[in-house]
This record gives sequence, C-alpha cells and structure tokens, in this order.
Amino acid sequence: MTDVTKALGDLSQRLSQIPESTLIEIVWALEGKRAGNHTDQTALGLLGQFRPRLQLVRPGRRMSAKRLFAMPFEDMLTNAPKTQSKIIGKISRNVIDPAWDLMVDKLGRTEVEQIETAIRAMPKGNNSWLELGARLWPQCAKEMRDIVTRAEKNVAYRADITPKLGGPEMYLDFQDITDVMEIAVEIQTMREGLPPKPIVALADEDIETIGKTVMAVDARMRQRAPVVVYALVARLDQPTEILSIFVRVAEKGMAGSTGELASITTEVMVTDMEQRFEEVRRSIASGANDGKVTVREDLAKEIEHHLKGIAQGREQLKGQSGAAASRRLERVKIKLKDVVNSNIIENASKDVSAVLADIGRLAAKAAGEGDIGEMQLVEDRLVALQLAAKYAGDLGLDKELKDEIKRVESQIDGHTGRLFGDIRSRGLTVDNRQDAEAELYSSVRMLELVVGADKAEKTLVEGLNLIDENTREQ
Amino acid sequence: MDGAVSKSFWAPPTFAERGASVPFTTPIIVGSRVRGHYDELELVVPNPSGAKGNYILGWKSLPEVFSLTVHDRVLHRALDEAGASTPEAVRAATMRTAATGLAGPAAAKQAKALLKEQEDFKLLIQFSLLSETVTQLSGGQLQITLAHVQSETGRQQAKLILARVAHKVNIEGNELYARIEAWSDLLGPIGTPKLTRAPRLRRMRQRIEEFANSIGGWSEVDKSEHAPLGGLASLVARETSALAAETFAVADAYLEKIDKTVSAWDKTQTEIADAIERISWMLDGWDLLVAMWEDAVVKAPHEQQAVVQELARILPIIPEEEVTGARRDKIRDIGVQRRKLVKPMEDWVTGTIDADLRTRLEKYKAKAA
Repeated sequence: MTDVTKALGDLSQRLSQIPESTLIEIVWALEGKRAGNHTDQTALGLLGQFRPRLQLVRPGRRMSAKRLFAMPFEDMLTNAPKTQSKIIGKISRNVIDPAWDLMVDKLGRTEVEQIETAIRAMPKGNNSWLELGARLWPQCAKEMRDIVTRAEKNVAYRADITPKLGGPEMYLDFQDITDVMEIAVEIQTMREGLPPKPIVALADEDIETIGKTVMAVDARMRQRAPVVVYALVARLDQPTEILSIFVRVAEKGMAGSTGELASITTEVMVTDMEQRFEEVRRSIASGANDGKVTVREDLAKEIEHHLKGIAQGREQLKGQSGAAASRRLERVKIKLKDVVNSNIIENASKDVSAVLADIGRLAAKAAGEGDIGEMQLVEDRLVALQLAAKYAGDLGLDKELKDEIKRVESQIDGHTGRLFGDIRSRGLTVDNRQDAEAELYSSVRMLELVVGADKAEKTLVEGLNLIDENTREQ
Repeated sequence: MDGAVSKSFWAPPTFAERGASVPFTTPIIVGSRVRGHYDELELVVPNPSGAKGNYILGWKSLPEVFSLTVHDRVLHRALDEAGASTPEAVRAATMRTAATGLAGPAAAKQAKALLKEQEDFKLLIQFSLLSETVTQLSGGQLQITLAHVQSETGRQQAKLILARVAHKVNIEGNELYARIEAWSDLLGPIGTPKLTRAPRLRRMRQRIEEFANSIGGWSEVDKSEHAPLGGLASLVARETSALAAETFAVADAYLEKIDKTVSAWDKTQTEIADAIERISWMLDGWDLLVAMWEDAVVKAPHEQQAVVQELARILPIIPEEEVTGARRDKIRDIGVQRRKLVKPMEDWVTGTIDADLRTRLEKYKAKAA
C-alpha cells in the first residue's frame, strides 16, 4: 500500500459528510492540480475516492483545452492496447496525449493559453462547450487534415509522425480524430441533446436530435456521415439498437445518407459487439478483480446482456444483405459460449467439493464469522451458475449446465447424508450441536443456490429434526 | 395468488395498521409488512403496480401463495412463533435468521456485528446515564467511570455512589439504580445524544437525512421522467427525518431533568418507551431504501432510474393519522403524487425466484443497520 492510498484511508467513508458545495470545490481544485500532470498520484487517488459521490453530484469536472479537444469523440474511446489492430469506430485513449501535443505545437501556445483563459472565464455549472469548441475544433480539423494529407503523400514525413503518435495503429486513430474534428460541432450538438451514456431508450425528441445531426452533416460534409454512426453506436447500451434507431429516423423523413450507410452501420455494430466481448475477455485474462467477490456473477450478467444484443442484431439483420454480419455475430456468440463454459460451468462441482471437504472450518465463515471471502467466492460460483441457466439453452450449453448442477447437487446430498448418518450414530452434545447446525445451514444454502428452495428446505427441516432428536443433555 | 388474498383500497392510517417491515429476500414480496390482526398475523404486500391499496393475506398462507427462499421460510416461521408485529420484534427474529447464513455470509456477518454492537451499547448507555445522573444529582461533586458498569464489583460501587445522591430524589439507592438500569434498557436503540457513536435508530435518522440530500440532488440533475420520483422520495425522507427529530427531542428531554424523570418513573418510563417505540415505527422500512440507494449511487444513470422506481413503490410514507394539521395534508398529497408517478414493477413480480433480484436483496441485507 502506498503512502497516498494509506493516507486516503477511510476517506470515502467520511465523504458523505462533506457538503455538496464543498465537494465540488475540492474536485475543482484537484482537477486544477492534475491539469498538466497526467500522473499526479495524489490527485488521481483523491478523485478516485470521490468517484461514488462525483457520479451523484456530477459537478462539472474542470475543463481544459485538451479535454475540450477530446470531447466530441470521448464516447468512442477504448482502452485497447496501442498494438491492437485498428478498430472501426473506436479511438484509443493512448492517442489523445500525443495528438494534443501536436496540436499545441501547430496552434501555438498563445492560442491554447487563450482558450484555457476563456475556459476559466466560463461560469461554473456551464453545460455547453459548443461555443468554445467551435473555436478550437475547426482549427484542429485544419491542422490535422494538413498532417494527414502530408503524411499520405510523403513517406518520410509519415515515418516521422507515426512513432510520435504511438505506432501505426495510433496513426489510424489520428485519422479518425481528424474526421471527427471536421464535423465536431455537429457531433457535440448531438451529444449534448441526447441522454448520457449508456443510452438505454430513446424518446421521440432524441430521434429528432439524431435526424437533425444526420441532415446537418449531410449538408456540410456528406463524406463524414459514418462518424455520426460511430459516435452514436458508442453511446448506446446495446449497439444492435442502431439499426432500429435509423429506421425511426427514416420514419421522420430525416434519413439523409444513413440509407446508404447500411453496410458501415452493420460493420460498426458488429465490431462494437466484438469489442465489448474483447473487453470481457481482457478483464478475465487480467485476473484483476480488486478483491471483488462477484466476478463470476458480474460476468454471467454481462454475458446475458450481450446475448440480448446479439439476438436483437440478428433479428434485424435477417435477409440476404445482413448474412455476413449475422455470421459474425454468431461467431461472437460461440466465443461467449466458450467463456460461459470455461468460467462459469466447468469446475463448479470441483470448487464445491473442495468446500465440502473443508466444511468444518468453512461453515463458521458461511455464518459470517471471521474472513468470509472464501465463502463469498463459492457463492459467486453458484449464483453465476444459476444466472447462466437463463441462457445456457440459447448457447447450446443446456446439457453441460444440467450435468454440472447434478454433480454439485449429488456432492451436497452426499455430504448431508454423511452428516445425518454421523448425527444418528454418534449423537450430539449441547457443545457440538452448534457446529452441526452451522454445517447444515451452509450445505442448505449451497443446495438452494443450485437447485432451489424446495429441496433445500426439505434437507434443512430433516437436519434440524435430527439434531433436535439426537442432542444429549450433558 | 389464490383466494387467500384480499385487497385493501385504503392507505393504512396508523403505524400498527401499516405493519412492521420484514426484510424478505424473495423479490415478489419485497417491501412487505407484518401486522397483528386480533390474534393472528397478516402480511401486507405493497401493490406491485404502485396503485393505491395493498394486498393482505393471512400469515400462515404465505408459503402456499408465494415461492419463498429458504431464508424467508425460516423467517416466516420465526415471526409466527414470536407473534412478531412490531419493528423491534421483527428485527430480533430477522437478526437470528440472517445469522444462520441463509441469506449469505455477508448478511450473516452484518447480523452478528449488529447483535454484538447492541450488547456493547448496553454498557455504554448505562454508563452514560449513570454518569449523567450522578453528575446532575451531586451538582458535579461525584463521578462514575466506565469501570463501574463493567463488573459486578464495579456495579456495587456504583450503587454506593448512587445511594449518596438518592436522597435528593427521595428514592433508595437500590431503587434509583434499578430505575436507571430500566431506563438504559429502554434507550438501547437510541442511546443518549452525548454518546460519541450513535446507536442504530439515531444513526438511521442520519442516514435518512443523507438519503434525502443525495436523492434530492440526483433528482435535480437527472433529466429522465424518473426525476420527480427522486424528488418525492427525498421529500418523504426529509419529512420522516424531521418528524423523528421531534420525537428524539421528546425522548432526550427526560435526560435534561433526571431528578424529575426518576421521581415520576411510573409515568415517565411509559412516556419514554412510547417515544422510542414511535421512533422505531417512523424509521421502520428505511433500511432497505437507504441500502438500495447507496448501492445505486455508483451505477449508470439508467440503473439509478430503475432503482428510484423500485424504491418509490415501497416508500414508507408516514400513515396519515400519525400526524396532524398541515403535515397530514402534505403526506396525503405525497401519496397521491406517488400513485401518479410509480410504474408497475414487472421484473419483481414473476412467480419464480429471480436469482439476480434475490442476490440484490441479500446484498442490501448485508448493509442493514
């Protein structure tokens, strides 16, 4: 534990006592401290501690020229590594700093300073940065387009600029930012008019906002219409919603060029689904769960969400033109099947068996004594199994899941059978009755999580009756 | 649901008719309450549609009407055996059931911690009250230390010290000690304002206050149709907290004049007990709502909106007959507004036990106070 994290200590516990106005002041000051120093650990740590309340109070985080620059494409940002092949519709976070440094060189420090000054002069609680953006973004668009055009013509210049941006993939992201910058005002207008990310449902007026954006981009720079698709898909809770959104836009007579973008829209939607799967895969591979005890439960829920999206997407892609994209969605589904099988189903019975073998020690933890982490992980395993039952059939894992559940069930049955046999043959004293009860309750709990309450209750009642009948007065 | 269910079209006018909140882990009966009806218990289930009225069913028929979790089957029996229909009685059975681990290890850990805390507070409150009594009656001349309540010898010494000041209230030392002890027991859930750490009901009021600020702030920034419900929840929380604060003041006032309180103990002990019981009714049911919101605060906006809908449906609005005047009008108005804004909770009312919702309820239980 670093000094900073230690010093932060239980700060989050006390956060609720800080008045909102003070909290906003503190965040404001921390953001100021962080500006110009991307790695200020104290500021980063404190902002991390504030996050739960930050999301609630949502103070305007301190704006900077760099943040203003990245604002139109912030929904499209991804944490994929620098070396990852270019992902359509996504921009790596890694490219922001080098791209901005280039812009500072091109625009000149004076202009950047003036923008920073203008930002500071904005009233607190300001909700729109369009006016200042309209000053910055077109300048960036021009400078970036010059760079890209020159790099495309001049191999030596491209060889010079590419490493500065972080590699060939980052250069491609730089090109995407250039495209965004050219219609940044339209994109940001749309962002400000829509609900926050992730968008679950769109009202009629939101559809109108999207339609207006499509029309405005068509009128000014038709070739940038795909950027609208990227920006929109990135903001959706379910990327597969995009197709039905464009149908609604068309119904309002505002389809514009989106009708011609069917293939790119499908491509972006499918890519987004694949990327979301990649994020799942990356988080599993990293094994970093920060002490979380609901890793498998969260995974099971996330997969359910993805499957809903895939089903929705495939439904909308029915017909010849969508066949290829539909097959790609099917491939994502096959990958999800592997994830479910190897992370949720396989070895569940092995884990339960290990717990049962050590139940003498673990039963107390199941009843809340001492460090309960080990038992919470077992619960996580069983809850995930139960959640996966909702979609195991859809993934073709019905048999695997049922077999695994059967194995878990017979292990627990075997264990309670032995426990009951012991109680009958040896009897219990007032002293060891409590241990037998704890063992019974923890077994019943596990049984309930895998096969349901009816059978679990039967075991509980049988066990408690046996305990009552076989406890000797000392 | 079968014929055991009848529907009531009026809002419960008193706390006792509203019933005491039962922290079940079966999603379909979340927010339900138990109440006494003659010699029987009844379950009051909030209308899942959010419309006016509650479903009422005989307590014994509960396991036949709904498919319950094992935890709830055990709790159902425990409440039945205890004939529990007050918040305090329900709490005792709830803690015992959760401590088995049937609602998961986190809920068990929390239940055990709370039971231990209850014991710890007993000594602290007794010490605080003894100390205050001796200080007030001796005019600051004599003092009691924590050691005086920690052992039998200490308690004997405390009795001797009390005997030295008992004449001021014309009571024998032993009797004075007995009254202080009885008073301490009554104060268990609320303690005294001087304690550096507050017992659960005083803490609960504080959490409701924070809930009111937090969800009120949310309703100002949220742009969805759910925002007004957040505002409504904030308003109900604020009203409840204000009303509870007044009743805390009533119970605390007896500490200002200990001589008068102990002299008229026959009368004052009933008044103190009534005030504390009233507080526990007022704050009853908020545990779940506060935990739901504390959990939602770090979630995405659409999840927060869903939680606001869920909690608004089971918002423990104070029964009308428990308040008077303008406050009663305000509460009536809140009830009307809620019915207009709350939507049916389709997710929560499926016949089977949804694993996701059940897990969430168990997580809230692990945050119980």
